[in-house]
Amino acid sequence: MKIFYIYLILTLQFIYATQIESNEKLTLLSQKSTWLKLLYYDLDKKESDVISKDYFLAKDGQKNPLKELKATIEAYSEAFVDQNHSTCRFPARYKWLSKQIELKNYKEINPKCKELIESIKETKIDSLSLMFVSGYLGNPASSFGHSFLKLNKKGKNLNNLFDLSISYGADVPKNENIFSYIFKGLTGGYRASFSDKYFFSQDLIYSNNEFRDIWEYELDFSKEQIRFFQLHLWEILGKKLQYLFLNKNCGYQISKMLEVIEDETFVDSANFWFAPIETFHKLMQIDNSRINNKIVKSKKFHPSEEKKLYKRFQKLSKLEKKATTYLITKEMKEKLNRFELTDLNKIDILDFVMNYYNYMITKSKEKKKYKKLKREALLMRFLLPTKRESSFKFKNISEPDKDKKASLLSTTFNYTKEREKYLSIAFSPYSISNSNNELKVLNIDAKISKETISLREFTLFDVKQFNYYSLPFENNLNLSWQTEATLKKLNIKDKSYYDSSLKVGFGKSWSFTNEAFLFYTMLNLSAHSYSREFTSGIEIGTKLNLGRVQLKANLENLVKLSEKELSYDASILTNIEIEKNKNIFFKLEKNINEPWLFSTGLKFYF
Amino acid sequence: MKNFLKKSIIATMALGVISTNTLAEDRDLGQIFTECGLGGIIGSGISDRETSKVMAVITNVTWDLGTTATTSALTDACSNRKVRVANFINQSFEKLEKEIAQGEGKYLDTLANLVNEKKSSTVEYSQKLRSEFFTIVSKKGYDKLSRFEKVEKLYSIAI
Repeated sequence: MKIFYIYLILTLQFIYATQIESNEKLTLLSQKSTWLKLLYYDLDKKESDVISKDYFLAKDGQKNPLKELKATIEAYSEAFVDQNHSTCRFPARYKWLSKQIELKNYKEINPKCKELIESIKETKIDSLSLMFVSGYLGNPASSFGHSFLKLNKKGKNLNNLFDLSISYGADVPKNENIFSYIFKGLTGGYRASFSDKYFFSQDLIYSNNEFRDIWEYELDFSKEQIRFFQLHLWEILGKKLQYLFLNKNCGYQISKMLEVIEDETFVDSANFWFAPIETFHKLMQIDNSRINNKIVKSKKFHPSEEKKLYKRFQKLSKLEKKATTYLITKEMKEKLNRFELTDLNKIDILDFVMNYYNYMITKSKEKKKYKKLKREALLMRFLLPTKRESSFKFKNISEPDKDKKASLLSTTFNYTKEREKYLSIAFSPYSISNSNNELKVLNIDAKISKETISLREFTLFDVKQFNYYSLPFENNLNLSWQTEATLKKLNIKDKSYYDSSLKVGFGKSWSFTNEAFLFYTMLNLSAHSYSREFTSGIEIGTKLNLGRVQLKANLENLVKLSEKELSYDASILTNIEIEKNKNIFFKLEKNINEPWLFSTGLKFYF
Repeated sequence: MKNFLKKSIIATMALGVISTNTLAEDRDLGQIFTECGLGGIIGSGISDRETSKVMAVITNVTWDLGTTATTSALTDACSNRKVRVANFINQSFEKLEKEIAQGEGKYLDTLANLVNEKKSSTVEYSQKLRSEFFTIVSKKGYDKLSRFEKVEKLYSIAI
């Protein structure tokens, strides 16, 4: 009997000791980065970004990674009843777990999980590409660009159009009004999910209908990583997460998805803001720190249909351009026979014309007219030999990772004509300037004097779109435009006032020398709160990009509409790039009601 | 992956219904669209109000508000071949119209490969399609057809 009790005590101690060890081990496992990434666990919020209850096995699995881990392990051994078994729902979790602990009779894919097996069979992935879609100023939500993943298949004769693509986006009801859209997007009023569609849908929307460029970064992941991704995709596709336009957006969640399979951090910090382009900066930052095992295998540029159209016209010969203009401006029934053209000439002309009419069908309100004209061009083209359209190389196109980072901090020394000197500091979470557009939001510019820090200027938004692509026969004006909302401190007769203003402008712009030189003119109208009046102005401006040096100058002739009083605003700015994300600048400016101001300082992009 | 698998099951059932009918029924694009739940009319078709067939038109494109942040209500990744062809033609019709006239192009190649399993026959397929589509486009009244009707005509010769 004594021996029995001694044996019982020793057995209980052994069991107790083993359990403590298991609990410790599980606690450590539940804190591992891969496990937290699989759960989309936000370390700051201390809960998962996923809100779908069926993504979790534990009751409070959304907030407790340890409980979720234990529930996942327990569920593994449960009897198989149907396709809702945990091994069918969470194959990636078990794949990872199988390397951490012993899972009895573990198989990567449970043979009873028919739907999972069918899906894996149907979605062959050879590599992944990270895609960046350029910004679209026609829609606030699209202004900062978009990113998605493309799952590449090789060996199939389908080009890449039937590659699957994975996007993250909000479930926006049809016909949502713009104010509700902005409010809910900013405050978390939308649910979102990862969804799949074939790449041709993305190509048609972005390239053909919104005329946006796409950059493709093919990523060099191992077969093991791709397999893990494929299993994880099955787990997460369709599950709901909370959408926040500023920081829990497409760029953020696509980055988080990549973090599941690559042991790197693609999102350093997104407490307030994360722009899709930041993933690309981070990718290159990681690659630049590695000698081997680079993540980015190759980069490819997919120009928008609009860009291709203008390039196609540029590449026509002088005679072809003349004949094209004639065909488009006269009745289509006018034959090309009046020109001495070969079949190849006619093919190039008609290929351009059909593309032009497709472009106008999308852009113009006169769709019926252009569809009819397109048909006439089609009929002419049918009678000519088959030939594939030429493709073109685009030079001087800046890769997303080579662009400056999105947020801007500047420190400035200012000197006025009246010999006042002071420092100022400015910050904007998003400030970009390309050859054909500029966008700055939420810029705060503060004056630092010995006694105080005071607001100089707050810019809610400052948007400029320079549409300089034009064809000689285009009837539409293809206008450039700008809009700006600011709150500015004015010093008038030794007193300070704040003036909030809203400005809109429309005009024309022209670009030369491969978009290195831009000239524009705009007709502006502004409303001012301080003087409670409108001002109107004709602005002319120029931008010159000489590589590391950029010059900007503008002059606006202003008229106060009520008093017909003339004034002017003018500025000239020189930016010199010291490093990729660091500039030194010199600026001379004159604003209405203000004396001439010279400023110089540093700009840091981060 | 999950959504398209479910859709392929629905599509297979739908095609099972369709295949019990006559050849004319096989060419009913509207049935494929409603039963497979495909709807995303992209591009010029979205403003085509002349479409007379009843279909589950669900678009993931809200032109006023852009497309960056929106998700598709339904995935169009349907694995059944006929449904894929129907969806592809519907979404990329304007591109296909142009490339068929040209006789070559990425979208035409994709259609040819979708319809024909063997690579060697895609050139012949493209040539035949070009010839038949020319007949359709050159017919009087082509301009008056709705977008859906044009898509249907192309589908009927493509498949």
